[in-house]
Amino acid sequence: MLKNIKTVGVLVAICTVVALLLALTNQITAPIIAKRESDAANKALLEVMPDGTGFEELKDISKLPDSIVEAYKETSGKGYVFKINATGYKPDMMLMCGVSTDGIITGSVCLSSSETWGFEKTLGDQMKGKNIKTVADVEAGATSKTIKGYRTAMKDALNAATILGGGEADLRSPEEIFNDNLKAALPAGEGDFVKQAIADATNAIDFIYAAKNGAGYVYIIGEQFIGVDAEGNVVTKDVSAENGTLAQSKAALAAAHTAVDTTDSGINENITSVQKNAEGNYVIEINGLGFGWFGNPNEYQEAKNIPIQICTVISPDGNMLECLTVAHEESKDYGAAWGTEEYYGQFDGTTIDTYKDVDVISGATISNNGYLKAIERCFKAVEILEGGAE
Amino acid sequence: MKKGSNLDVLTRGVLKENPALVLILGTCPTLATTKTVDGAFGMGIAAMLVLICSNVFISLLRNIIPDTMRIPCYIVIIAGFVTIVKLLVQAYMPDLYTTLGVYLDLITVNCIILGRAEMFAGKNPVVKSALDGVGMGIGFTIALTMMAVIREVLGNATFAGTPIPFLQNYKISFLSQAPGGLLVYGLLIALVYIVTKGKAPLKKSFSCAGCPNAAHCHTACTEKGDEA
Repeated sequence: MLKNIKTVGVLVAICTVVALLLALTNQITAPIIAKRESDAANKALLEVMPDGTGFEELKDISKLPDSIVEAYKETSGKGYVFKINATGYKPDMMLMCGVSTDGIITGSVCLSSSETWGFEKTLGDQMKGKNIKTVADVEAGATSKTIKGYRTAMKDALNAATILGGGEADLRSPEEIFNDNLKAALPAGEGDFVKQAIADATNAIDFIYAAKNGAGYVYIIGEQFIGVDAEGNVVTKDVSAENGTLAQSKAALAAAHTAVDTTDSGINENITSVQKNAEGNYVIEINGLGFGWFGNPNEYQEAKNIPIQICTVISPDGNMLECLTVAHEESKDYGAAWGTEEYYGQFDGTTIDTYKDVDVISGATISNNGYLKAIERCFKAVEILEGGAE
Repeated sequence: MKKGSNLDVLTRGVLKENPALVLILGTCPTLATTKTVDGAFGMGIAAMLVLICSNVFISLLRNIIPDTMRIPCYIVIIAGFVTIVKLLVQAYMPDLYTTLGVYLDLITVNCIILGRAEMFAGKNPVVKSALDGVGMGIGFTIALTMMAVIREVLGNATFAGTPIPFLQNYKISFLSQAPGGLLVYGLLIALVYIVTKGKAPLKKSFSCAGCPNAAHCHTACTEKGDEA
């Protein structure tokens, strides 16, 4: 009995001494560790809200969208930062997003994800400055679940900021919000719009959408959607005079586009439209080949018979002024690669001799070849129309 | 050098009884933390600190700790020192803390620490136990660092995170992965075996017959042809 008591006593004594040593160490290190953790957390928060001075975590987030897992209030009232659990191709795409009090995204980053191609890591910069009206227009032709998931997460963050500011959440999807805004800006367009290249616009215009029925254009400047009808009149109400004038001047330039007669010219049959803009440059629309159209239909996914729709603006002397992917449905595994400015923007400034120098998408030979072929055909079309080699 | 002298105790952990390359203890952190020189060196130093402290503490208490309760007592002491080292690393070396990750906690169950407590510190005076901790710690750190230098330089063309320009096109990526780690580990064990002329692994103190349970599994030792 005495032996057992001694055994237990020794173990208790050792545990006590070790516990005291641990307590002493913890006493010394706890404040340092807490400061380091706080600095690390603030660093991530500052990344998405660079103007922030300090952040306070909000404990009650029950009224916010379900995807919001953490919410922080900027202590000087500049806005909020949210940690969001988004779903792309796979769940648990963790994003951080800062939203100013006037509903503008101040920054976003992807903290962790298991997406296949990593597009979520590149979307942060594009989201900066978007509001709930424009958050859908991030990538041309983007159909990837990754980007849709990212957009939805951004919309949730914007809604969360609205709720915390005493407003009501917008329950529409980002795409519905965007399309509704286009429709509201130019009702005569009947909700059917196509994105336009903006080579001859000023930098102030973010995006241009043309009504497919020819009713006019919608110009997006900041958060304003400005509809201009076919006669060049601004039809959207509550538009600032400056932006209205800008949109009108752009519409006048668009109206000055003249169709080029390509009958029997010998240009490629996949070119669907050739126009000359007010500055005498060629605006060429072409259907590029790929998996979605004439490509291998069965290897990865069912072909949707949708080409890579490309719009190019080329000067008469053969310089690419602007290239834009209007729409595409290429293999889902490559997400929105073809629709990203990072990809199609590479062609700006190229010529028929240099267009092949761009970085192609690794592992997507058919789509790469289709895209490059389309660009080559645009250059050759200009050469032909300018009376050069056929 | 006189056998059993302080100098002998201090130096034998470096090569003759190197814990990682001769005693084949602590294999898990040896393979896991040797992708980078920083991580390997940090793990070696952290393990050495725990080893010295636990050896000293256990040696001090060796006459008080009841034989039947020695393993739980050793574990409490080792776990305590591991937690102390972990808190210190977390506070003052956050990068190393991130690099080592869960392996820092796993020092608690590192065979080297418990092995030296059982084989040496529980039977020897404080100074010798401290020297044993230092020697074994240095040996473990050297073994880890050697492995990491080979794996990082040849596998990733960097040294302690600094790129080595002329090796950038000659990376042997296999070495950065687990199978490469096993290969390097095996080659280093073979190298030490050659250097020590194969004598070290036959020493009774850490062979099968040196095991505290040898009396209970004598048959098994005999069947394995253990001649120690």
